[in-house]
Amino acid sequence: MALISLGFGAILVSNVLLSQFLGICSFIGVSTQKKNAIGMSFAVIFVLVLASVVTWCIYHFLLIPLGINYLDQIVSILVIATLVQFVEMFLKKFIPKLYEALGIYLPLITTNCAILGVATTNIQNNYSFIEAVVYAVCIGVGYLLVMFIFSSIREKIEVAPVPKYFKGIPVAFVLAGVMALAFYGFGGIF
Amino acid sequence: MPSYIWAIIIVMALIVLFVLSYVLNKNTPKPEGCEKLDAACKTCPITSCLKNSKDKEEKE
Repeated sequence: MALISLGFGAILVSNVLLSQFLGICSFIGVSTQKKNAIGMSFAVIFVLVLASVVTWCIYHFLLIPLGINYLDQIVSILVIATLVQFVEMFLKKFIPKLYEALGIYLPLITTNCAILGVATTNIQNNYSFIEAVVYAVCIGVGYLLVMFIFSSIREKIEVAPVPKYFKGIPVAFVLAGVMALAFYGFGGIF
Repeated sequence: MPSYIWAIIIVMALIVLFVLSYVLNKNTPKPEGCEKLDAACKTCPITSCLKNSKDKEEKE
């Protein structure tokens, strides 16, 4: 029950984009098309889960026994940066279409604070391995959910009669604010 | 062994791993049609990014 609560909490209540406001760059940048938004979300989920697992293992099996747990941030940053390089290599070799779709945003996963944020939260909240994996997966699912909804609405807004100075990113921010308010309503569930 | 030596070893090992992955990634050829992906920058709101500002300068 605690895991379900943690999972749904990560998806809806403390949503990484609309509640914690992490990873906003890719949220605004890649959400112009649904296809790209979904591709980016899966790349984020993949790196997020891998980074959480690796940083959790390094922290609990290496840093704590050696008494150097103050290195957690540096280790997380280096692990994420390395993982992104491997993901990019994998996409270049095996899924070139997705590589093309993600474009410049793929290297930006390295600097996506959502991933570092989750790795740090796992350590700060002293989650067990299972909890850390569930939390990372659900944060990723929350990211995917919001990206899907947001990109669907943005595709419609592109052809809507929006005032000239609101076109593009300004109206996207207004929309993000309204969505954040809607997600705020989930606050009382868990 | 003092803990700070371990700290240096671990950080150095991770840096070496990152450099290795970076070099491997750089040497992996890009798929056809993906040689120039800067076009995606037009939607990126970060104007302080080196790649983004370069892209805008080229347009000007």
